[in-house]
Amino acid sequence: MKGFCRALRRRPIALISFIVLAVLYFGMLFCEFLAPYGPNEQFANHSYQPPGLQLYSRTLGFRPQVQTLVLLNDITREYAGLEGHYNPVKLFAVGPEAKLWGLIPIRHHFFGTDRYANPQPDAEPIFLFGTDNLGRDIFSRILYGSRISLTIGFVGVTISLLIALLLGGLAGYLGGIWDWIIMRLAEYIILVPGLYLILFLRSILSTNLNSGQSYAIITVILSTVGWPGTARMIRGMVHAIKRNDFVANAELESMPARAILFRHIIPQMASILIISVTLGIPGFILGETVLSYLGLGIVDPAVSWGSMINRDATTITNLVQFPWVFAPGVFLIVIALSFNFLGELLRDMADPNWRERRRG
Amino acid sequence: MSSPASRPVLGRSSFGLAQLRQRHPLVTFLTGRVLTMAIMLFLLGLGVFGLMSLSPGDIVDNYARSLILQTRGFQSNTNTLTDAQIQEAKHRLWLDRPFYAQYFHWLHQVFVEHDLGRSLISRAPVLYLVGTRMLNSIILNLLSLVFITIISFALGLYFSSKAGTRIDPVVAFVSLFLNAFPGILLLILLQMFALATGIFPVTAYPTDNFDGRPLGFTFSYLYHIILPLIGAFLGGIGGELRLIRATMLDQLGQPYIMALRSRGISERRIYFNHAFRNTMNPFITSSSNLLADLFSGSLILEIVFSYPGIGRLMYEAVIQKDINLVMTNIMFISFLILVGMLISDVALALVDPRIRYSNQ
Amino acid sequence: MADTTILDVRGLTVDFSSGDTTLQAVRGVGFMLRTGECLGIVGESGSGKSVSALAALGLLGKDARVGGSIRLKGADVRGLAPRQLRAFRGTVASMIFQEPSRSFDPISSIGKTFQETLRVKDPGLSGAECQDRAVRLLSEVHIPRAEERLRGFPHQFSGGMLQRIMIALALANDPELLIADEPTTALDVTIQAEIIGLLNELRTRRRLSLVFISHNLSLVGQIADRILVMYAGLALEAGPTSVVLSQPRSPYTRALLNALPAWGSHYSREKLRTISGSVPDPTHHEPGCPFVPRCPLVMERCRMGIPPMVRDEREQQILAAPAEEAFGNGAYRCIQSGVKT
Repeated sequence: MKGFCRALRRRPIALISFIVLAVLYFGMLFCEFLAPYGPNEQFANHSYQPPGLQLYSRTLGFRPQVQTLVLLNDITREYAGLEGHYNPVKLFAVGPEAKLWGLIPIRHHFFGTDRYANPQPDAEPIFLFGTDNLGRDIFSRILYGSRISLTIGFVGVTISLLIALLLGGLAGYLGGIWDWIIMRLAEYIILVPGLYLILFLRSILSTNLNSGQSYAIITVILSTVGWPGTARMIRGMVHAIKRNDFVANAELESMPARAILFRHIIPQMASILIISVTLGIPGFILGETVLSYLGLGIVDPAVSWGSMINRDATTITNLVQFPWVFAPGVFLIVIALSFNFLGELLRDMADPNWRERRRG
Repeated sequence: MSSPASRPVLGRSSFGLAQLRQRHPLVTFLTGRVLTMAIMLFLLGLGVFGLMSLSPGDIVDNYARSLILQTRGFQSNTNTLTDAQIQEAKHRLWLDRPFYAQYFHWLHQVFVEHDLGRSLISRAPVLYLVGTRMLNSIILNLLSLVFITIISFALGLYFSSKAGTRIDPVVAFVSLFLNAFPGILLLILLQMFALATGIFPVTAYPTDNFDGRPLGFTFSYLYHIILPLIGAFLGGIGGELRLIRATMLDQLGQPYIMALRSRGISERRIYFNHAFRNTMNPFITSSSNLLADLFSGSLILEIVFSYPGIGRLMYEAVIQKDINLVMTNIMFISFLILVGMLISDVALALVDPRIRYSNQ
Repeated sequence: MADTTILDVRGLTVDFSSGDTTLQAVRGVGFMLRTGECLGIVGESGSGKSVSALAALGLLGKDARVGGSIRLKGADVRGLAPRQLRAFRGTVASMIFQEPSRSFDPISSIGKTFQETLRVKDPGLSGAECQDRAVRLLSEVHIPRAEERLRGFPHQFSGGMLQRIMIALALANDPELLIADEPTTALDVTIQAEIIGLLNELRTRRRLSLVFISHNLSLVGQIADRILVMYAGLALEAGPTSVVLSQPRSPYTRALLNALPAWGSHYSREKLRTISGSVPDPTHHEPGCPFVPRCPLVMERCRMGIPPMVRDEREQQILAAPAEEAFGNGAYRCIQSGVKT
């Protein structure tokens, strides 16, 4: 643990990644509070509105504020600011009703305008990242969408890891015919290119799923495609450990089996597994994104970053005209990069050469 | 361990297979591999049919319906077939038999009667669809593979000689960045760039015909695939560059390098004739993985850039629940990947004598 | 061949620096070698023995800072340009290494390796000539059926065979000095004896000077004329083999000799006597004699500064050297050595 903190400080990129991930996951946990509006809350006459936070105006001076916008052209969705009409952005503003984690009802959100406060029902809503074609706040949708996009990574990796541990461990430990069967099975799954296999599996399941089922199905499919790689690694490690001299030595010194397991086998495997998990999570997140992008994943009304891209970013003309709809893509890029940088640091930490050079 | 070289090289006692293997190591290696792959493909088909038999009811009904319609010769365009007709047709088409029986029936259809069936939706013969699209995908992916291979080798060799200097961490960072960047978002960004600047076309396939003007078509084709090629290149080069660099550095630290140096061999010779040649082994191994990844990634690429390849065919088939097409696609792709693996195995045997003579 | 001084090392220091730490691998070592002589360098891992050998051929990397003087047949190794240095390797001095199975390019056949090595000295050699010479070299190291062997690849040979082949390669261009860095450590005991025998034979036949590096004192005793004992980057004792092995003056040498199991002893009846403690950290050397933490004779005086090498009174030869260095003709570095153990 201490080594980890020290290594983080030496490599600022990894430190930044760690902070970014922590912030994003924190945001996911408290999304109902942090998001000013609901994920499916539509604001009429505000579709495809550009992001609207500014820090200064003649009217209100230096404070975060949003200018009221007026739709000029229905076709091109051009907006113009209304002169002199500025709405201050307040912390802990009153907003729409929401339930934190589905349990605790709240009325105040992290920030917002006076729109939901009683005296000014017409205040301009604050759209940090603009709106989509139905006038829904993209920032709020990103926050709510992170619930699915960010957790599917962990859930999927966990399931995949459990399967891999079970099957890989059995294969390595039992050897013989079981080893052969499990490894051939793993090879098959690896053989077919990932996306084709995913699509195939998806196609043999019914395509009319509600959002809860689709989450489960996606997780199952991605785990099925993901376990063989890790299983092969685990099986190799179990094999090597079985043959390894130090286990024999430990037995000669009559160390109990439990001690062998905990003092030798698990630490060796643990670091490799941690690295594999960290580097595997972005793969799962992107897998869900691709499926949703293809329309085979998360469907409305559930929100995920992939489904947002599917809705808004597939029409290229849309994208060029209203570039802010690419915001979930930016978040995905950041997540993928952060996990990879962090994973790279973990991998270096496990490498004895790197550690030797850094010893000081 | 007694030295194998001290045993008689030409075994006079053992006849047949062993002697054949010694005389023509490459040929026996090759035939062994081909046989293994044929068996794998066979079992894969079995698995595909088996999986399909597990899927919920309406898929099988669709399949049955598609087979019925194609055997009926498309006279009845209506989809209203009575239950009795469906049952009778199912029986005639072996659909009420267990999946392995269906599989053998399908194999018989494919190999004996050369009939891969027809697509449910477009009614076109599957062979024609898959054939043309497959060719497009192969061209695109081969071009990407060659492109990536050459440039990553050049860059990898150059930059591994610069290890330890200031530019080294920059290279490491850039490779990691490119490797981690989500491919699909890269493609979307490239398309945005294409539309915004108008330098490159937004779709990846020329609109005119090949037969009319072959040369013009070729140029137009190349012009159209520049952006997708860049996308594939950027996505793949990160990983390859890191591999080459890591392998070169690993080789240069090996004892045999020191031994060569101690006998007066020049640094240049050591670098190119020894260290470089030894990186071919892991590189070829990773190339077959690269090909599989390219195919998987090209699926998205074909969808984003509207390229008529087998990936997009697969996607459309899945969306339209065209089971026949989906299944044939999977088999074809697996066949292709296996061929790629075979080629890389052969290349590996040519390059690395340890593989060639591993059975002695 | 006249008697000449092949290797002359004085005041050798080697530092490795990475980032902000400096590792002092060798802190002032000297030795000399004449035609046909064999010097044995003995020490634990980390004593600096291998690094000294690599420095002699200029094989240390760019991150090493070498100080002192190294003369190979009179030429200053440190002052040579890389191309000139390369000309010496294999033709004047050569080296064999510890792990024979990893010291060969796995994808080059043995014949090709010989061809490459032979062409360093004589680029115009034809394939057939290379083959002839290779066959002769292989028979010199007692490898039968040489033509067949040349077609083979390293992974097809055992460790002992590969070590012989490595010796043949090292001698391919007729060097006058061969440095053997732990050549038998990775091999079976029976093969060890064969290799030692082979080296002895080659020494006599070719009038070869030999530097034999090992951690095994008794092994070195079988081949070396003189022994240099190194510890923590310093030479602690040097002298003729017979003297060093029978009447060592340095407590470290005595401890090493003690640690060798006596002939005929059985592990169940006698515990192996090890030297307690461990080798000091090469990045942080304490002032004073490096053996202080583990020495049975240690006193306060030992910690105050590195004791100089002093001549053994029993030796008659005159040393024309500064006090810190020994020319391996009978010297030791210990204040206490007069004390009886």
